[in-house]
Amino acid sequence: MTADAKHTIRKLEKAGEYDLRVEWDDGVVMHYNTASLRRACPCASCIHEWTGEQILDPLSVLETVKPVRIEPVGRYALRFHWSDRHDTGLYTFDLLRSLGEPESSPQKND
Amino acid sequence: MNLDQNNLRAALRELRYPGTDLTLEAGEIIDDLRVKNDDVLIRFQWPTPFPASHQSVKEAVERKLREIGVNRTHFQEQVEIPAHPRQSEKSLLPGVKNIIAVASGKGGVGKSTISANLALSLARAGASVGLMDADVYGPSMGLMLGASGRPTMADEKTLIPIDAQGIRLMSMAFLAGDDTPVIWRGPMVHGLIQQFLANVAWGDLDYLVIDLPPGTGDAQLTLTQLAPLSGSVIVTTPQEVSLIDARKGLRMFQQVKVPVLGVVENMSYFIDPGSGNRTEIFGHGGGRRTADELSIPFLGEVPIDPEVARGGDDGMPIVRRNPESPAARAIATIAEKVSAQLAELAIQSRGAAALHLDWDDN
Repeated sequence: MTADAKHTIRKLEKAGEYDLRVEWDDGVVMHYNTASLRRACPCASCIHEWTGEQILDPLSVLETVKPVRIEPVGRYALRFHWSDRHDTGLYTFDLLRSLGEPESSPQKND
Repeated sequence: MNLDQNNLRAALRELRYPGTDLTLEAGEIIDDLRVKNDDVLIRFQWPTPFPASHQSVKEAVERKLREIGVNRTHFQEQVEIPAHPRQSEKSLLPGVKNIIAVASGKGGVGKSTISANLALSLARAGASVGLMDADVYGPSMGLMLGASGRPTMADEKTLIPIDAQGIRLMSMAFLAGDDTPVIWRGPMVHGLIQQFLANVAWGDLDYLVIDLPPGTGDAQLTLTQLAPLSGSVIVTTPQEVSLIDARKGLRMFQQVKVPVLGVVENMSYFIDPGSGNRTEIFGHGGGRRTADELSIPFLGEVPIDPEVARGGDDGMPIVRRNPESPAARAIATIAEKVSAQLAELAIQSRGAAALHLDWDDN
């Protein structure tokens, strides 16, 4: 009906201490390393608004960063409250879709 | 046929709520269904306030049930407008269920007239409605609704909206006066709008209609970003120049991911009150074409009617002044479509509201 995000998220899950699992509406499942996701923060204090240059020094993000809380924003994005107290990034579904690692289909060894 | 819950529900499965793709089941419109001997009792929870929609559902349900041999149906009903999922609990407008922005790419297309009449149509249907005149450059709502009072203060910084013909109204004009031009620079506009959103005691509302300033500049962008808008309506006239600007409005909303509920073509045609002849002064059909091109819904066309303008000038908008006139009926239909789409969006995104995750609780 509207030109909104092409895919929406159906389910969020903590798969490991630093592993976020996301189920999409088309059945695709993706995983996200929490520190990598923090480094990809799209907010104006992490990415320069005009040049698109990254302001955030990726090395300043510890491997042990993880979300404290994740909440939906409208029907198009998620807001992450990170353990390093950063919480201004809105991760659109489009962005998340491009960042995720598809879950490898379970190997059957029988 | 043996009547039980399941085959009754199966019989009704295909029915949809008017103006939406929602089935009665998925939309939770059938709140309760009971069978007692030969009697069937259905309790409806209507997601929009318009009785005509309710009536058509009731008739369709009766028809379906008669087909499977149920002749004694009893209905209970209540209206419960679903709330658009809030951006967060800390939303600026916690008691407001749906926020509709009315926008236009350019001035002079009748955006404020449509806003006022849209708000009144929703209120006439029984919804609790607020109207925010955010046209910082030329607020006119006070005049249109014949409200000249000044809002009172609930406390040091909270303004209480004025009651105007059954809707709660807040306008820049109340602060600046109708004929004082408001001249604002960008940052002032931002601050003003923020204040407008945060410091007005709207109370509980089913719908808040925001009359945006014309164009796609600072003020519009600020509003679309600060207010958790549920959807937007774009008003245009049939001329090409107006349509080009309507497209700009549409792109703005798409960028900030506010769903565009549709396009309204205002001043669509003129019916000569003497002869009844229809004249398409500015051409016709451009609104529908534009909507089709951009694949957004076309909400309707509102004819030119001198009474619309008169209604605006003497503080009695057309949907109250002459509710049976073609212009008033057109706007009421638009309001019905808008409320149906908002209900659909709210119900469909109930799932999205479940996307909360507290990391350490897991």
